[in-house]
Amino acid sequence: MRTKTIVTLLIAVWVLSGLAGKINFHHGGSEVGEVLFDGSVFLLDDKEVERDSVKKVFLGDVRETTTEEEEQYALSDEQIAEWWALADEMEAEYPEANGVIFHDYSRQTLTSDGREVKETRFAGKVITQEAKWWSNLAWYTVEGIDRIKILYARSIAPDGTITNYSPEDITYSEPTRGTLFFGKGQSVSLNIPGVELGCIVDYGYIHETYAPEDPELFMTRFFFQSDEPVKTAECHFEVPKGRTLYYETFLMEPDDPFIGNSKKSVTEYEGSPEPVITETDSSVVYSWKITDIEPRIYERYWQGYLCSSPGVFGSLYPDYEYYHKRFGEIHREHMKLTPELDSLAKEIVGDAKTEKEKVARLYHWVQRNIRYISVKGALASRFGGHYAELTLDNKYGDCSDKAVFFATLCEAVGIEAYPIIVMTNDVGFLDRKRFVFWGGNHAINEVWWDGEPHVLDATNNLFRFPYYPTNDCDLWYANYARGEIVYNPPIPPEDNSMHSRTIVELDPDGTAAIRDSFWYTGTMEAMYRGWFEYTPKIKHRNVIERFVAQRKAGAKLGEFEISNIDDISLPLGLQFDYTVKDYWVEAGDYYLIDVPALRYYFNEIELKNREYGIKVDWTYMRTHDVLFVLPEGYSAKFIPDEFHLENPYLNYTASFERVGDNIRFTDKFQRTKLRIPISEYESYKSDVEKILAYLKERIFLVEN
Amino acid sequence: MKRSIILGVLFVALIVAVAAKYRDIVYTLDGNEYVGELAKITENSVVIDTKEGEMVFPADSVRSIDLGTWRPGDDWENRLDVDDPVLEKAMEAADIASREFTSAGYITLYEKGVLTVDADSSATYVQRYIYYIANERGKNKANWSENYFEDCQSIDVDFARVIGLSKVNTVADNAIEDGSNFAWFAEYQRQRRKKFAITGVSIGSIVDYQITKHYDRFDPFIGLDISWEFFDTEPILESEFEVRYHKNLDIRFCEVEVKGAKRTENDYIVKTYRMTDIEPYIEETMLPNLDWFMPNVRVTMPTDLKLLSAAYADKVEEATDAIDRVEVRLAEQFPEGNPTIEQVYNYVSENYTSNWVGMRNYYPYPKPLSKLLDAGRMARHELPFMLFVYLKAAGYKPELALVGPGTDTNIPPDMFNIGFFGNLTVRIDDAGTTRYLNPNEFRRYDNQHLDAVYVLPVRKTGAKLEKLDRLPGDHHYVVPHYKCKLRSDGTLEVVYTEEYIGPTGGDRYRYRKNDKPRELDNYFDGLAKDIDEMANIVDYELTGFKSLDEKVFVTYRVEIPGYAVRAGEEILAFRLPTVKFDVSRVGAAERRLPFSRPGNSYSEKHITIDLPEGYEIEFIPKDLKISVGYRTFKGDISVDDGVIDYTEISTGKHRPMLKPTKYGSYKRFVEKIGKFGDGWILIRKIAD
Repeated sequence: MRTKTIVTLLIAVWVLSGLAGKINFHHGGSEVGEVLFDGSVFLLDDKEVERDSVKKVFLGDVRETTTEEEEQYALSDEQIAEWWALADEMEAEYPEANGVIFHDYSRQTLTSDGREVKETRFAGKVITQEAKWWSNLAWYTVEGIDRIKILYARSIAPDGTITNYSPEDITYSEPTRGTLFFGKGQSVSLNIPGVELGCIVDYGYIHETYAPEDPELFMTRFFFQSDEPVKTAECHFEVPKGRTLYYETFLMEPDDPFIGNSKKSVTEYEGSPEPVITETDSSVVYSWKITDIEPRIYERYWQGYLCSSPGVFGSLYPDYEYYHKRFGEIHREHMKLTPELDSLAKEIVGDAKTEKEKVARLYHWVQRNIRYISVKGALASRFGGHYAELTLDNKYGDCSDKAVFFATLCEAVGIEAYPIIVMTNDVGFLDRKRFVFWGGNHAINEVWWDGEPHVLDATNNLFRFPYYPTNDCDLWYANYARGEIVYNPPIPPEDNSMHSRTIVELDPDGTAAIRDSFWYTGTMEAMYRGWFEYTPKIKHRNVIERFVAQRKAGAKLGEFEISNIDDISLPLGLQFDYTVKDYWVEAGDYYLIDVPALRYYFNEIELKNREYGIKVDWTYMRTHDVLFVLPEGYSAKFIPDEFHLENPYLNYTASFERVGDNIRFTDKFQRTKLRIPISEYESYKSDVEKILAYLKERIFLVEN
Repeated sequence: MKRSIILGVLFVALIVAVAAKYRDIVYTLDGNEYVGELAKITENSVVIDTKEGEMVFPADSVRSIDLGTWRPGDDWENRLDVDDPVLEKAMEAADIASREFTSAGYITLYEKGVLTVDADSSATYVQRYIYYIANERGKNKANWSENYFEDCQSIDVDFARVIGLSKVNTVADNAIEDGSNFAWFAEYQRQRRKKFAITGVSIGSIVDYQITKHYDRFDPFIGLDISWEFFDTEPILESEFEVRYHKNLDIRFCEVEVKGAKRTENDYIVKTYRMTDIEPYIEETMLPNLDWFMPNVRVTMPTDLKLLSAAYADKVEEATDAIDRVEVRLAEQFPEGNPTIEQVYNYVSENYTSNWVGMRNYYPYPKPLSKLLDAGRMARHELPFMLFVYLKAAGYKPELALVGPGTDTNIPPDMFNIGFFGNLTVRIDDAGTTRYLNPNEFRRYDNQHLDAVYVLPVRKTGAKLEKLDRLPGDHHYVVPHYKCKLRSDGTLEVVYTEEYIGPTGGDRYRYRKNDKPRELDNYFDGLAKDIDEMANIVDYELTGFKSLDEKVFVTYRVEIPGYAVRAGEEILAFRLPTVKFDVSRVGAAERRLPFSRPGNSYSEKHITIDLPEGYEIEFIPKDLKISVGYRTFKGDISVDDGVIDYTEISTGKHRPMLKPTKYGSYKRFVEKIGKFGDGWILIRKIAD
């Protein structure tokens, strides 16, 4: 076997702990040394450095990315031969695979000195161009907190050529983030050279958090399944001796609560869901190793990867006590009331009498006066939000900042309120009661009025009290300040609704004069309000003209009115009237009429067969009330029957009734739950199809 | 003890302390952060001055300190402290403007761009913007971002502040980002983006910022191309654009609806454009490129295209450093030698792929071949380069060509430079057919078309810009066929096939080539739903999609229960499947601005429906045939022997810009088609 090494070994350049510090300059360079500052000038090992040239100073430990190739990671001929044989075997079994993964390995360690060390190793064969992404390695690190140690990264060509990466090709760069997001970390990236179709990609690295902000927050997780077939997936969670890891596996056993709900059946694999626990002199290791794992096939509207892929999570505590204390303290500290905040809160609530009125005023004020921008620094601001006072000063903040700020203002006027941490439901259903998971991706609020807790989300700027976004429900949230884990059920449909009342006056020539009125609640209201508020007023007519044109070709808009666009404390209203020539569709002796804007979408039933349960975007209600005023000399020959359908996830009632010479259509659709278990999919789909069939019905008029 | 002494000393000092100049942030090891001005770092402690007084940290508890930058305005407390005359004038104007433009989201009180290009072709571009924030959507004006190339450009945020009703806020350094757009791709980091978000924005506040972009130089591969628009969807009170350039430089201008005043200052020519009291425009549907008719200026430093082409050819030659490796691969792949162009194209397309980095995101010329051969993925313009090298190695005479703007552009070619070329293509004569090829594992080589653009061949000498004609609409198209059967229970069965006319094929199905069986099933489930939301796939056949060597064949069967609705016991009513037209783009009763109907087009569709036995036609819509000259539509429906036959043909002629006066006829045209699509067919059960 020919080995062509195109990389020289480099030894890590690294600053040992205990050394003084480092300066990063605005021009991009940096220097290490002992750092002092006298108020105007820095001294770096006694060399003067102008303050204005310095971007950042480190006093703590700063460790750089290292690159080493250790003998233990050298490839043997036997290993390579074994992989080629394995590749043949796996490709025969999965001929459509983009790649086959030989091993997917993770070792996550909490050391006795509090560092978190995560070792990853991967080897797989690239079959199609889609798998070439395996050659692109990138990590996100924060200087002074964590770093990467690359153990090896190479490709093995079918002819046996081994091409190693070059440390010179590693790049470090602050990544650009979304418009409203600012952070502190940098991207470390590397491309493994020589990766072509038929190659093996093999790499290993360690992600070391050498200065964690809190080692007790150590949490492990590993997902065994990939989008491609995996031969061996193994993970090892290691904690210092004397500590216990509290773990939970998911979707690995037939009696897992997710089976039949988010997933139809257990992913096929060989092995045991129970770990092998071994003890060393200094640690305890929990190991899982399973083999022959079938690939995951993504489906639209699945319930999120968190509850759709077999995996294992672990944490250092069997309950939330430590986290309640840790984060509760931060939240309470950051909710520190200052005279400025106190007087602001009182000014906002003004003469509001009840708790509910006070909360409403504060809720609206925070949404409209604290702009969403995320500037994250350390753990306390990332997780605990900035001090409320600072958020007021900045007049911006992200979810955690706004949650802390809002809670502070509530408390100032005697309302019990807390920031709470959630994992929004679009990511997946995270059952915090099933196992201890302290994290989340969003912060909102629990606010008490009338003796009960309520959820509110002041992150946006469009929600009328007491409504909040549909992502924040059907989930478990952590109220660390109060020390509770609470389930927030799906938002009731009436709290996310759209209603319309319509009069359609028909002329004998088929022309219709239509008047529509709409009113809303919840996310629906926020959506429409946002649409109109973020569209220049001079364009509103065009927007509504497009609405009506979408309903009927040739529709001509008359007058319209949109009320309370800018005032989120008041309900949004929309009214317009329009005329349409040839509203009805003439078909011989018949004149077919449809109900304007009667449309429901059920994209979630697209698939004939599913493996995964469904999660829809929102619970909601929609009602129509339409009066058709028929022209003289015409009557309804056929009108559709009444319709009623109800199941645990939705219900729909509709009717056409004769009202004198006219016809009135009313309906009410409610989606009551977000998640539909896979076990119910077939019957759910069948029910939805009944509704769709009914929506096709038409009124048939005839001339008397 | 020591701490209290320090506090004691500082307490005295604070009485006479001035306002903090810097906004520094201390990060402690336990995850907290504190804002203040750094006062001191000693061996044992870190001291910062905050609003509440001094804070002292043990040195070994501090992880890092971010140093703030002082910018003009950082020492302003409120509006009374403002001492910038331009800003003061704008603030006065805001009071009046806010009463006049009550429905604006924001009002541009003042904007000015000054581009200065020196004799050595280095340049600075200073932009200042002052906005009045009138409502929620205006708050976004406190965000800003711009791209630049790190090796030859830089951007300074000179100042960024918000003058609130009671307070002045300035941009915090931790809300300024200087990030790489492709940080995750190790070898493609050149383009960066600088952005910021200013604090303290509220309705009624004034946002004021200035940025300076520095250019080291312009050369054949870094082109100057700047435009200034005198229009917005919100009102603009005062807008000015000035270009100062050394008299020895060739700087060109394209002026639309605005004229510049020219003067000379020493060795510089200065051109100034200014407009005031600009009304907002409405963003209507179907707008053409606004730069064609709304007031704006575009400035470029043109490059002699012959020289550009020659310089590019040099770079290509330089990059072709491993052709021997390519020859080896070709020999391995095609041991019998003499592969066809198609074979070479297929090999390159199926073995090399892009990472989406474009020519304008990185260096516009390719990396060395030796590097690309080892790269799993490469930039979009490097793929054609690979194909070029492979074709050359196979003995062909391909040519690279830079792909420029569309031929509709209003910028004259004598203003072009490298910035006007966004991609690379390979041109080759294939048995009398000129082909423009871009490797793509999902597109056959004979299904690639390049038209209506400028191209610049890459040649060491004599290159001339060429204009490619627009292809006719019926040059190539796909005809969908729906063969349907309606059952008496209202169920519609549909068999779908496609017919390919001209150099085209079912390339869209090649994107499924890596699908696993269930993914493909799911895809066809989705296609069924495209026909009708109640359609379910029965079966499908898809062949030839996994390899570019083959041609795609596709057919699928769907079943749609309840497709036809009943009216009583005897009548079944239904519509033609997939015959539905969106007319929302002509919803507006009238237009103020021109509209665009771009592209030559041709489309055709065939539907047949076998009626259920025992039924006859009760009503069938009439045919429709209409035209507005540049758009035609024909929908023929007929019935024969129990079979409904529908043929639909639409054509379009390229009209990049049509006057608003033409809108009415186009609106009526579209609405007629829309009504036609609403038509229903009724069939009646024949009496026994």
